[in-house]
Amino acid sequence: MSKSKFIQMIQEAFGIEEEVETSKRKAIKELLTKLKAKKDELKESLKHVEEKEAKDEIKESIVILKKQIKKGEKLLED
Amino acid sequence: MKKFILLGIFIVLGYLFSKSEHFLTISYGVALFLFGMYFLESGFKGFSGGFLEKILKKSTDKLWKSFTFGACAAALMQSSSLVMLLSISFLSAGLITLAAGVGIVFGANVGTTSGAWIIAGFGLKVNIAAYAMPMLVFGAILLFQKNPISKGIGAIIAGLGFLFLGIGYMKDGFESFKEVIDLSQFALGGVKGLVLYILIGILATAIMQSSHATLVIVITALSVGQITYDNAIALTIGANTGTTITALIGSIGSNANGKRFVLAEVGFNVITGIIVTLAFVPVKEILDVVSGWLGIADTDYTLKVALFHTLFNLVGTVILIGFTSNIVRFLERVIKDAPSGKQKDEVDTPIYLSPEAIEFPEAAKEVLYKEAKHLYLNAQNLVSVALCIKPEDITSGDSVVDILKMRNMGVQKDIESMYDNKIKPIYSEIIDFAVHAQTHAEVEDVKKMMDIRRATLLVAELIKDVEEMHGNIAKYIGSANLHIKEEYDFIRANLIKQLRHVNMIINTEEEDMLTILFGKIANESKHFDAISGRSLDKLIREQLITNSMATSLMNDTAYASSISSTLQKIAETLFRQNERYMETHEAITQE
Repeated sequence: MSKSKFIQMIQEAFGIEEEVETSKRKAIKELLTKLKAKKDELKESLKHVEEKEAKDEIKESIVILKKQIKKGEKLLED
Repeated sequence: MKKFILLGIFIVLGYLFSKSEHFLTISYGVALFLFGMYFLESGFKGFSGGFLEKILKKSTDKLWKSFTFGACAAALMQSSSLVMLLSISFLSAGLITLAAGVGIVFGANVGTTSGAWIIAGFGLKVNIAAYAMPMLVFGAILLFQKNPISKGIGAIIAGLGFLFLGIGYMKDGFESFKEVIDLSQFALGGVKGLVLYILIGILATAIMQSSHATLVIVITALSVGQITYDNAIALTIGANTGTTITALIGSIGSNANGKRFVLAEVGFNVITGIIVTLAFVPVKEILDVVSGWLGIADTDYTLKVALFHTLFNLVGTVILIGFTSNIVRFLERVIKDAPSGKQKDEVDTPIYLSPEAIEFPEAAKEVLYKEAKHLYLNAQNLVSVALCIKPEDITSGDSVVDILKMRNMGVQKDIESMYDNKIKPIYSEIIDFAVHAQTHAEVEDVKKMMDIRRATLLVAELIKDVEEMHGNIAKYIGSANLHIKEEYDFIRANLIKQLRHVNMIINTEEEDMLTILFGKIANESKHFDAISGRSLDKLIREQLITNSMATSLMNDTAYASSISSTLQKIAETLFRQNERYMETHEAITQE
């Protein structure tokens, strides 16, 4: 169990998670929600696009979003 | 000329000092008072450490909030000038609206009247100078501490000490003066007296650059009967009007918003002054009634002058506050923004760097950020020209393929002179501004200012690379050799895409879009590494391009790669400065 997860578990046990959560963590969590929603939206739109160039653009965006979601999750862990 | 006037003042004062010891004592008191105000202002600047700036930034979205801020800050600091200066700097930086600025003007004018109450209610009733000595000692000890907060508190305490000492000396001076000459014999009644003493009030305030100092002299002289009550009121009207001269002088270097703010201040004081002068008799009657309500004795003229000062500014506020939006519209109509549509070859100058912002780190960071964006947009135009396209192609909805088809004729342009006109003047001003602003800033703010300096340096580097590449682009995009033309179009297409993405980053606020755009510009800069050996070997081997063309292509691909990664760095560095994404920029960008 990582240090941050352990701290999170203790915080949850004492019900103090909300109090100690920094504004940065909150902001990143909100960002991740937006990025995940955008990724799903793009995946959906990919089904309806025929043109190769447009398809490649969307695929590139999805790859970027996946990478940044991972990065954001790592930032939350640290 | 200025030197001669100053010399003349010294000679006249020297003569008067040699003739009258009492005059010397009064002048000494005024000098100490002004010295105290100077200390108080610098103390608040150091002590607040951005505290006032943070409040100002967050609490001026509504008119009543800006009014309250202006009133409280001016009452707390015993000076409206620092509040005005801070507000002008924020207004110039675009951190507050002009309507909020007008609200602050109203508030500061009311808040600053607290000074007259302190002098009349406390300063003259007790031996105020007795408090000054220990305050000066404590202030001096704290002033010599290394900690800036202690230094600031020390300056405030010492400032108050000097103020008290100054009031004490003025009081003593006027009292002793009375034994020699009774100034009240020069009292003048009626309209003549009113006009003459208003003018004296204006003149005294313009000379001392402080209405507060004029008022303290007026109240002190009134307390010992050296001037009459009516003349004291006229002097108060003059002091309030005269303070606008200081503001007008201070606005000379400001931008349009700074000038509008000062015009609002001038308008407020002059309009209120005219109204109160025209309605002098009824105003005095109202003053007597309100004094009665507040339990002020009929003969307590010093407190009545303090009350008059407050009523004077309250009347102005009540009359004008309902017209705030009209005032804003009027100010915007009278003082126009500097024209932004400059001629092609005209030298461009900074838009946002106003000298008022230098001393306030929050405002300084904001104007630097905006100016750096202005510089970048100029650079974007210049890169477009170097790529042999039109600057508007970057923001147009046309596909990159269509743009390349449309712009297939290369024309050599003088990139160096464009750099001299559009980049260099702004770049050097940004550096100069940042260097000066850093001396007033805390470590964290200095770091951010350094980042902006770094971004502007990157812009300069970008242009150097662009300049190197431009000649060959202009030469080969219209070449009969389609192979070399295709290679250069490939470079252009990638850079156009990247310029478009950076431009979108500047104009987008959606975090999901920003994340995608940063990813794209990062991919685009890697793209050039991949193409550096893309087809060059084949083109040389099959002798599809000449050796000279191959050398040019190799060099220019390297320049394009450098331009591309510089564009990415500029976008990321500037983005880091945006307060809005302070907590998420790490997750949004590829850093």
